[in-house]
Amino acid sequence: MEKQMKSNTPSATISRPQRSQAPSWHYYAVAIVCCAVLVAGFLLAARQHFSSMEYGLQNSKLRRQLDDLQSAKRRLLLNREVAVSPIELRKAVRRIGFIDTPATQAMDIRQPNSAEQRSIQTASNPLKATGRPANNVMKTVLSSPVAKPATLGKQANRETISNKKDRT
Amino acid sequence: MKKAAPIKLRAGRKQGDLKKMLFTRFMLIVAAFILWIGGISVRLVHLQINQHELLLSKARSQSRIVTNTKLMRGTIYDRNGSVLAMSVPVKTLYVNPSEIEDIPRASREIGKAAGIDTKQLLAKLTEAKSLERNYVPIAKRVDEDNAKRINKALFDSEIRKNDEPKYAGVHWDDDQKRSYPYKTLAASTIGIANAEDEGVAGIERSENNILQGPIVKAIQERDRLGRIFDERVIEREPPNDVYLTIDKSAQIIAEEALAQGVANANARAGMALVLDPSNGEILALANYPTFDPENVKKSSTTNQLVQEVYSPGSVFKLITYGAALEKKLFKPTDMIDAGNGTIEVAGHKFTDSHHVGRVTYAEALAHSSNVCAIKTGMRVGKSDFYSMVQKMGFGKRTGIELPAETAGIVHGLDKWNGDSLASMSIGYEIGVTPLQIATAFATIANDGIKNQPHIIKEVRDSQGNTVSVNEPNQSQVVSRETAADLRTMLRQVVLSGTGKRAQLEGYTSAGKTGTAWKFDPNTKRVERSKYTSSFVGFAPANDPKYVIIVVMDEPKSGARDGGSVAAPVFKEIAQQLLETANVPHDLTTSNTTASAAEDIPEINSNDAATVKGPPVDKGDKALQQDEKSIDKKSTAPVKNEVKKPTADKSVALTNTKITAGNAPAIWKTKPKT
Repeated sequence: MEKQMKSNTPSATISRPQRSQAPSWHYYAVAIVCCAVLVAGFLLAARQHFSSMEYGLQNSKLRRQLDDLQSAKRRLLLNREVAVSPIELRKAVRRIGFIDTPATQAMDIRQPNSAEQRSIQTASNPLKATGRPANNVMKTVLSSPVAKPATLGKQANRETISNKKDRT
Repeated sequence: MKKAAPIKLRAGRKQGDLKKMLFTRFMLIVAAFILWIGGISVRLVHLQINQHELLLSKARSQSRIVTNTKLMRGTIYDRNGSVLAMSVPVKTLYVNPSEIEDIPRASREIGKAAGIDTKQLLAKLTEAKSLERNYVPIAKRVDEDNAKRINKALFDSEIRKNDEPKYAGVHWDDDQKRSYPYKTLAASTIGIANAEDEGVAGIERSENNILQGPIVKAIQERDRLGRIFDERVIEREPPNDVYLTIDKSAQIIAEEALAQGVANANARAGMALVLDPSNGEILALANYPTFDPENVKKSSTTNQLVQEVYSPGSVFKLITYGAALEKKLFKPTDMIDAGNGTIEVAGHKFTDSHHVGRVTYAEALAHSSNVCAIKTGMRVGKSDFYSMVQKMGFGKRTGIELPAETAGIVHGLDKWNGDSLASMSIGYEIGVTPLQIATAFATIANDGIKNQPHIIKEVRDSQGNTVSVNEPNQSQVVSRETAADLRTMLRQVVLSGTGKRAQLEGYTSAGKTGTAWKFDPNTKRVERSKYTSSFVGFAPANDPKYVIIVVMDEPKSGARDGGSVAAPVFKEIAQQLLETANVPHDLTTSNTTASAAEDIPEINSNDAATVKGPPVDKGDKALQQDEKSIDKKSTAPVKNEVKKPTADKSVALTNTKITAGNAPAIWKTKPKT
C-alpha cells in the first residue's frame, strides 16, 4: 500500500510530455529558404563578380580601341597634311605632266650692266623699249620652292660669267 | 544471487571504461583539431601579419601591372587649323636576353622578322646576356603597320605571354615621334623637339610647358590569361594645342619668293616677314636657308628675324623723318636743300650717292638722301630722336613668343659720340632685328598705333576648347597725322624713288629700301664688300593689309641694293597675298601700266667709265678698289660697334656731270640707299 502510495505520487506518475521524434516541416522549410537565400546570394555575388570581370575586360578592350583609334586619327590627319603639302603637290603635278620652271628662269632681277647691253636687250625685247621693268617676277606656284644651293650657285656663277663676257 | 552481483559490477565497470575511453579519444581528436587549427591560425597570423607586405607585393606583382605612359605632345596648328607639328605613336622593339634560352635561334628569327642583320643582332644579344642587361632596343620608331607585321612574323602559339609579340623575350615599348608634315615650311618658327619630348628651338621650345605631355600612371589588374579586367588610371590633364597666327598659304608664298630672291641675288641668306598691321599678327616668317626639323643634322635652327641684329641703313630714315614730323618741324611738301651732297658732322663726312639738290622732304626720302636725313635728324635733336627710337621699340625685345629674341643694340645718350645722331639718322650705329623694323612700319601703317607683334593666336585644350587667346598690347606711338604724312612719303619712294620695283599690279604700295654695309665684329669695322639689303613696305598704301619686310644678307649677283634685290621679293609676296585674299584693287589698270612704265633710270653710256658698273661684275676686290678712291675721312675706322655709313663709292660720282637726261642709276651707284 505504502509502495502503491509512493508509486502513485504525482511526481512519479506524471511523465514529461513526449516530443515528437520527426521534426516539424516548418523547420525544414525555414532551413531550405535560408539555404536558398544563401545560395542565391552566393550565385548573385558570383554572377556579379564574373560580370564585373567581363565588363572590366570589355572596358580595357574599349580603352585600347579608343587609344588605337586616336592614334589612327592622328596618323590620318598627318597623312592628309603631308598629302596637301607643297612637296607632295609638286610631285603630283609632275606626275601628271607639268614641268617645273627653274627658279632662275622664272625671275631675273638683274639689270643690264652697260648701255650697250641695254641696247641689245631693248632691240631683242620690244617690251623693254617701252620702259617696262625688266625684273618681272613670275608666279612661283609651280616653281621649285627651295632651289638646290649647289645648282643655284652654279647657275648664278654662269650668269655672272656671261655678264662679264658681255661687259668686256 | 551472489554470482549475479559481480557480473553486474563488471558490466557497469566496462560501460564506464568505454565511455571514458570514448571521451578520451574524442578529446584527443578535439585536441588534434585544436592543434591543427591552432597551427593553421599561427601560420595565418604569421603570413597575414608578419609577412603581409612581402606577400602582398608578390601577389600584386603577379596580377597587377603598373604602366607609365607619356601622353602625346600637343599639336601646333596654323591659324586655319592646318597641322604644322604633331606627335604620332610609334613603338620600340626591345629584347630581354635573360628570357631567351637559345640566343642564336632567336637572333635569326627576330632579325628576319624585323629586317635586321642577324649577325649583328646575335653579337648584340650575346654580349647583353653576358652583361645581364634586360633591355636591348633593336628597332626604334616602328609605326603601327610594321609593328603588326613583326607581331605576325614572330607569333609562337606555344608562348603564353601577356603582351605582344608572342615570342619569348621580345617586347614592345610605347614611344612617340614628332612629325612635321610640311617639312621645311616655317621650320625656324616651329622649331624642333628632341627624342625626350623637350622643345629645343622655336615654338616647340618657348611653349614647351604647354605642349609637353604628362606621364599617366595606370594600374592594371590582369587575370591568369593576362587579360586586363580592371584598370585604374590616374588621370592627368592632357597637353594643350597651340594655334599660331601663321597662315600656311602666306608662309608658302613668302618662302618660295624668298628662295627665288636669294637664288637670283646669290645671297648668303634671306629673311622675309609678313605682319598684319591692324593687330600685330605675324602671318609668315621665313628664313632662308631653312632646315628640315626631322633631319636637322648640322643645320642652323637660328631664327634670324628675331635673333640676329643688323644695321638697317636707310629704312631707319623713317624714324628720323617720323620724329621730325611729330615735332611738326616740316611738312612733306616743304623744301630741303641737300647742298652739294656732302655734310660733315664731328669730323666725319657723309655724302649722298647722287646730288638731289633742293627737293621736298618726300623726294628726299624717295631718293634716300643721306644729307637730308642727317640734317633732319640734327634738327630733331638727340633727346627727341632717342625718344622716338625708344617709342618705336628699338633696343628692347618685342615680346614675341619665340625663344632667344634679341633686344638689338641702341646705345644710351651718354654713350653717343659727336656724330652718333648723324649716323643713327641714316640707320647706322644701331642694331635692330627685322621684326623690330617691321613693327615700326606696321605702326605707321596702323595710324601710329603700335601693336605688339605676336605669333601665338590662341591655346586650346585637347577637346578643342579655347584656353587662352592672345590679346596684344596697343599703344599710340605717333599721331595719326604723322603716320599719314609718313605713309605719303613712303608711297613716293615706290612711285618715283628707290623702291620702284615694289610697284604692284592693281594695288598701291609704299615702303623704303635699305642697303647697309655689314659690320664685321672681328675687325670692329664695317665691311664694304658685304651688304645687307632690305625693303620694308606695306600694301595697299591707303589701307594697309600687310606689312612685309625682306632682308637679303650679302647679295653677290647683279645690283645689290635693297631696291633691286629685296623690293622684287616684296612685290612677289604682296601681289600674291593680296590676290589670294581677294583684296579689291585700288589701282586702275591704266595707272598700273603708267607706273610700271617708269623704269628705274639706267646709267648713261657716257657715265660707264666713271661708274664702272655694279660691284658684283668686278667682284669684291674691284669694289674695294673703287672704295679706295673715296674720301679718306669716310673710310676711317669706325669707332663704335655698328657704325658709319659715312661716304660710299658714290663720292667718285660727284665728279660726274649729271644732267636730267643722264642721271646715274641709283641702284648702281649707291651702295646704301
